[in-house]
Amino acid sequence: MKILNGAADGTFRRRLVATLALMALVLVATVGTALASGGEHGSGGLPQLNPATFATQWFWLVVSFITLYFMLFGVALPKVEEVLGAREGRISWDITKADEIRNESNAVLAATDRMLERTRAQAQEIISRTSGQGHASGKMLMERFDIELSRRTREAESRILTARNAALGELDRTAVELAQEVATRLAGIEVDGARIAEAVKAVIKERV
Amino acid sequence: MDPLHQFAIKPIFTVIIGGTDVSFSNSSLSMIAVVVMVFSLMTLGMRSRSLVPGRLQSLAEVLYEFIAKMVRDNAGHDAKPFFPFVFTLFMFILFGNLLGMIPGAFTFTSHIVVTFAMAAFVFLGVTLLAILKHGIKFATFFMPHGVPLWMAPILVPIEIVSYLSRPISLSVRLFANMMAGHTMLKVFAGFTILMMGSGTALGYVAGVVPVVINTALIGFEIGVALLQAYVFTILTCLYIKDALELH
Repeated sequence: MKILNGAADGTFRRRLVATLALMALVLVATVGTALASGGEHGSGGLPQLNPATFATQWFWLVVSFITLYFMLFGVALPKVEEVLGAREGRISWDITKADEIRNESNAVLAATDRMLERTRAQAQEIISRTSGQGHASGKMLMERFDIELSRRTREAESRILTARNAALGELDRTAVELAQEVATRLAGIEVDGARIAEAVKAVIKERV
Repeated sequence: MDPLHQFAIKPIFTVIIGGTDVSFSNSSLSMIAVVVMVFSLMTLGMRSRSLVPGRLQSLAEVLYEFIAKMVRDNAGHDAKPFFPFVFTLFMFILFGNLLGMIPGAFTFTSHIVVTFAMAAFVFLGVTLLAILKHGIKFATFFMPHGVPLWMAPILVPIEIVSYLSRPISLSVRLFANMMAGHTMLKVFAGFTILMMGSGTALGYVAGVVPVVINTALIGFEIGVALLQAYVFTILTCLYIKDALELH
């Protein structure tokens, strides 16, 4: 359509001029030939201008044109119109359907967004609440832990002290026995336990 | 050898109605062939009525939409009732022109009486339509708006002559184009026969030249066949618009 419209505007005029020029050329050729062949045919002239053929051409023109008109008007064109209409209807139905689906999905999306928003708010609330609680209980826990820790530390310290004292006592005793044994074996003398214990104590005191 | 011989009406069988000779001729045969071809294209193409068209259906639909758009754009929305007529007119002329491109086939659009009958029908129909629709106001068609009154004596006769010459220009344009093209093809083809008929070697070699020219001209003539059918139809649309709207 666009191309033909373009042709109707600019190109058409040029083509018309070209056609007219060709027509002039052909007219010269035609007239020349007609004049040349005029002798043979006798009648000469254009077959188009022979009045004897007018009636038959008009008659068959009217017959065929009216036939074609009613064939197209009654049978062919409604069929084309029906198909084009059906296609247009189908396309617009598809578009409406697509619109519906899009609206629906938009609604679903909006609902999802709202739900997500709500859930997020809820989560935020829970987090802030639990973090407050957590803080409080944590503090309490910490205090309890501190008390427990100090208690256990004290216990452990006393246990260590006892063990150390026990260990030290044992050490004293062992040292006394050892010294007694050494004195008996080397010097062959029997030393009184109390005196050895006194001496050992003095040595340990000196060393430690 | 006569390039005008192709336009001769040759009766095939004699038909006489009311004392008038309306013999079925080669011209009538072409017209009936066009009717059969157009109707076949438009019905066979639409036979399957599928939503996704095949080749033939696409062609039928494209032709339908092409003319429907032409009528809508050039004749206005009120011109819808004239669509079947415009469509018939376009298809009849188009297929008449194209059928004539088959060598040996008769081109009925190369006859002034045929094109003039169609143009006269369009002219009378459009004038009648304008008078029926606008009554005496139709006379204002010949006096354009905004023109000083003293110009009327000059302008109105010009407008009337221009209006009356419509069927002549419409019919002569189509007839002359078709006749000129077909005559030209025949003249060039005749040259080849003359040259080769001379029997000389030079004649045979030179005889090829008009064949080459004719090959190009046939392409050109097919273009003319399409264009002239289009021009005839679009002018009819514009005349219908004038009748409906009286610009």
